[in-house]
Amino acid sequence: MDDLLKRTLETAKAEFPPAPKVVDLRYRVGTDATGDGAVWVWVVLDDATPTAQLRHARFQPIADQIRAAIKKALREGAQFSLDLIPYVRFRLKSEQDEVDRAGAA
Amino acid sequence: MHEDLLEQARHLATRDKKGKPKQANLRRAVSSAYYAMFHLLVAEATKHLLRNTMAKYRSRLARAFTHKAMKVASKWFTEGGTIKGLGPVTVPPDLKAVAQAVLDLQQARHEADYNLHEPLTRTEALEFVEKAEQAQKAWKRVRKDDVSDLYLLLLLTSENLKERD
Repeated sequence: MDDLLKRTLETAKAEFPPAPKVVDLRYRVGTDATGDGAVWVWVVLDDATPTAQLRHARFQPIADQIRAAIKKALREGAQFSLDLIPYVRFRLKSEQDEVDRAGAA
Repeated sequence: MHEDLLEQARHLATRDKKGKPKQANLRRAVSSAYYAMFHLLVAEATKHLLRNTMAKYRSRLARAFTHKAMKVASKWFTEGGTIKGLGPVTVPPDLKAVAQAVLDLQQARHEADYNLHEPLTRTEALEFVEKAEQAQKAWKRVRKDDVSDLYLLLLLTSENLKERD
């Protein structure tokens, strides 16, 4: 599963728009609030990203691409027979560092 | 109500302009953004189902909506609209955006309220608020579409639908 998700995200990343600049992708598989299988993906953005690019409208194409890639990978990787709900989140690099220091994802 | 909640969400997410924002403000912003969507859709559904002399029952019917049923229905609509027991329906992009916002915000609200282990960032909180704002605009554009009626009904009934025989 880890390999599949890692490969899927790497492939998806190659298709991202040039801005906002994505410097890292993190993910975690788990169970969501109502007990469904889920995968959380954190898109880590360059700290130099202009404020004007830190907008839902700019994030949405990236999130759509990630969700579509995960759905496709899970559908085609039938041996897993898994239905994971993708939750895509965005953080700046400095924010991600702070989360890491706090010992979370 | 939903407009006030959305305004409150924006206010809280942008309140701490300098330095590290307070976790309480970011977390309440996300929670308010979700409930702005929740109350908008419940109000729309009850208004649609209970008219004229039945309007007095709207607030009571509103209590019958559950987060789980709203999630189930929203998940179907984000996945291209294959509805359990009904089959495929065509989902316009605006309705898909509304359903995606409900799905994302519901989970985010749960984490904001209960997962104190993981800090919520300003970028995340602002995106959730903006997602709710955009979804409310999308809803205004798509609410008259026939398939939006189905979505509203499924927000209440999705968990009771059976597979087709």
